Amino acid sequence: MDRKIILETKNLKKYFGGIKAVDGIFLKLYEGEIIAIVGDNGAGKSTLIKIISGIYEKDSGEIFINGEKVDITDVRSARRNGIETVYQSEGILDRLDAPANLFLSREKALNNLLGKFFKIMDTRYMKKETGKMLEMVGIKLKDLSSKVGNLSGGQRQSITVGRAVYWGGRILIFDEPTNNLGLEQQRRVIGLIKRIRNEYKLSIIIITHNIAHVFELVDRIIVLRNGKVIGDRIKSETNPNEIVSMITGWTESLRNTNRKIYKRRKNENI
Amino acid sequence: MRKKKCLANVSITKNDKVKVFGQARNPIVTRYVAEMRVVRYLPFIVVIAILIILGLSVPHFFTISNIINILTQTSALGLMAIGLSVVLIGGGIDLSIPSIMGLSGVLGAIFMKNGGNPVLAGLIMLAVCTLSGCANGFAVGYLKMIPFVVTFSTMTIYMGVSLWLTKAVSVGGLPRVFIDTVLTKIWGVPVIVIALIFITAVATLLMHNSLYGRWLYAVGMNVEVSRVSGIPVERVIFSTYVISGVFAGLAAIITTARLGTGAATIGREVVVLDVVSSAVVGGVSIYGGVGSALGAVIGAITINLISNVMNLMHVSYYITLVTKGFIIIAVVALSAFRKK
Amino acid sequence: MEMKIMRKKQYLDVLYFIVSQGFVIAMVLLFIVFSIIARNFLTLANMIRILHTIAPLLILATGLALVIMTGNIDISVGSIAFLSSGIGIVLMAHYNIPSYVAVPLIVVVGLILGALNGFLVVVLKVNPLIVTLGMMFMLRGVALQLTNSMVISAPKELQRLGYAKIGTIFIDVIIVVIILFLVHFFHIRTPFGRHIMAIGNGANIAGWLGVKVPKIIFLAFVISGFFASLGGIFVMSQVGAVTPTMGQGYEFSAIALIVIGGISLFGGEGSIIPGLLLGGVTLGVIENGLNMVGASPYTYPFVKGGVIFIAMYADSIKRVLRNIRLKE
Repeated sequence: MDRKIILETKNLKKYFGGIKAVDGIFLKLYEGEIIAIVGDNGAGKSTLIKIISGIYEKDSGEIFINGEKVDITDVRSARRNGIETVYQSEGILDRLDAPANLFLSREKALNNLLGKFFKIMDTRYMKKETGKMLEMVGIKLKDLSSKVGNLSGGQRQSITVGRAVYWGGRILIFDEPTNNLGLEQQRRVIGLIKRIRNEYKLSIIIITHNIAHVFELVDRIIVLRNGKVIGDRIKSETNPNEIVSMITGWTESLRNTNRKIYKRRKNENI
Repeated sequence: MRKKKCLANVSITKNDKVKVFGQARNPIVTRYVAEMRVVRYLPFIVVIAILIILGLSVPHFFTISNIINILTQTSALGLMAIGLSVVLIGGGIDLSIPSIMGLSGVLGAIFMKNGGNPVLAGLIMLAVCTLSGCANGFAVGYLKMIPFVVTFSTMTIYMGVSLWLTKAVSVGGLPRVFIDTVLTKIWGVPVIVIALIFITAVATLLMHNSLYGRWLYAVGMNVEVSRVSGIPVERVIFSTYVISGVFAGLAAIITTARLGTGAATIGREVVVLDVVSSAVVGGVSIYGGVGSALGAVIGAITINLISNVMNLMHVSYYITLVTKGFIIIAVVALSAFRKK
Repeated sequence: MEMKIMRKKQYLDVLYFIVSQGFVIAMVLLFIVFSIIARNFLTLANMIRILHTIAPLLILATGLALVIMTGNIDISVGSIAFLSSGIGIVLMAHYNIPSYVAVPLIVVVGLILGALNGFLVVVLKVNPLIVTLGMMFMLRGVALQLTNSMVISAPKELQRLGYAKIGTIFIDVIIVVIILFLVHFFHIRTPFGRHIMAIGNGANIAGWLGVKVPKIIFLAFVISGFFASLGGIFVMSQVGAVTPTMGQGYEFSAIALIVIGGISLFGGEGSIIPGLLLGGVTLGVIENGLNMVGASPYTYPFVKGGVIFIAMYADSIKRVLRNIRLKE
């Protein structure tokens, strides 16, 4: 199979003092696929994601986008490479309205002197674009200038998703997307993720604890433990029990299965 | 790499980078600087330097009688510092301590001037301060207002009221009974000093060993976790302000007696600076959860000594203000730096 | 069951409305009360006088409001005003520097002092309360030393600024209004203003979303210093001199003004117009009204403190109500 590798990390490392949060991670993300990164707390999922999205700077290792080596030093450079992150319910500021949240730190200035010199914002444009973005994710808002704190959890999550899609991210990272939501809203978000992957041909990384959602949504599952990748399974080759036991620790049978799979893959030359 | 630098079974190597002021720095170097003997022992060096200067300039400095003198001078400040440290450890702040001390002192003095019983006057002073503590504590603990603003407001109100009551003139005519009782000596040691030592010891022991003390530190470290663990957070916070009020009352009695008159100026602005500096220099953290009563008193003694040194050097009052302001910023900055 | 929730929500909404519009209601009440008590209250001349008196403080509070909206605090504004004006007036009175040189210099000093605050808070990461508390005393000490605790008169042109009028309106009132509208415009129409509110809402989240938090907080403190010194200039021109007690209590009054104006001390909420403007007018009305009924000046801090308390109480209630709303 000759799929394009849209994101690759080689030997990524990040230490905090003596704590090896990310300890040599080799990761491949193919274009158009959804992968889940799972692992127990402290396994390094959060840190890995923050390195890729530019919040942390890696200590060593390389990151490749579309085969080219890139330098991700901050959030802006990550965004320039098409990486957008969707945080949990915290990725949104309650007392600001939807357009403000959508355009935060990327506000559009007016085209005239007022805009160029004083950086006066083009609020009309931003409002219009927000309308478009909301359509993209399927939300109807009566009043675009109402504060997002008044919306439901699902709507707010959809706004953060919409923000990532709107800004043309090719690689979307979801940090615990269904964490603080009720069941109905979880279904909504899952549906949303599926739809945007299909409609916009995005490549998606999801960090989650919810194994059920993992098996419903993703193509491939990556298990982290102590800062290293200990498992990389295509969904059809595994099952929830195996994933859980990998998260919590090695068992002999798993190691054997791994060896079989790697042999098979080598033979098929993937 | 010294083995001593291991904390929690992890190791630091030369190649790790730590961000200091936004630039990557070798943590070994930063750590080395922070742990360099000079920086680490800086506070002690300063204190020793002060003691040396004073020892050389003041005859008979290191005599018992002089030490007692210093303790007597520091007694009011020390008590206020203990009260403030209780509030600080609980995660709040109380800027109104000196001003309620001033106001209650004025009220007590007016009471005595009009023929009131000195004992009753003392009780009035304590009561007024405790009431203020209750008001502050209620606002912060139960109404969930911001400690700084609440105590800043009450501070301004109390100063305004005391100025209004006294029209900026001190209230004289305190009965000698009052002054003499407060300033008595037992075997040559003023009651005030004995009280200070005793109270400091009791307070420190209680804060570290009692249930209340445990709760206090917990609330200061993390309010939500404390609440979830079942600690009555509101009650604890309320009590800290009441305690600081009580200590302010004690300080009022002492200061009024020592001064001989009831003056609103004993609560003037610069005293706030002194009290906060004492606590901060004494190792009490602005953010809560750290510190002790003993530290606060030692801090108070240090600040007092610094004032004395500056007096000896004939430094103007204004430069004293500048120095004290600088000290407080520097101390907090250093402790923030050390934490990294 | 749903009806109960609906009714409860309406009840909350009403309560929220009362609390947030509280100061408007209060001001209307005050107007009524004072007009009844003091005959001269409701005259145009008095209204103008109110604005004129509150103008310097309002200018000073503008910068402080921005700092507070980021969730920080700056109580050194009074001392910044004192020191910067002190430097200026010493230059003008003792060294015969012309006022058109000295006055801009005053503003520059304000900028520098604000930058100093910003540096300590953002780079050295010292608690803003401690920084500005220490600065409050340090700067006051320097200023007192500089002016030798004496009253120094301002040159004629500056004094004239204090009572100059265009028609019946004082110049400083016009300037204040212009400044407020400008700042308000920049507040709602530039990314900078948005980012300030974002930081007040959640500094770490704003950082994740790409906002340059340290830079903006630093700038907020610089602006606070700027407006503090600017306000000081107007105080100096109105009083006609720099006095040893200049700046004392300004931060308290400024905070009162800000809180009355609906700007939350927790950060992230509030507006310049109408918020800060109405806050200033309300405080001015209170002080003027007290003056008219002949209350002793010693009661001012008492009243102001009470006002702050009520406004803050309302602020805290708003917060609690909002949390309840979110939970539903």
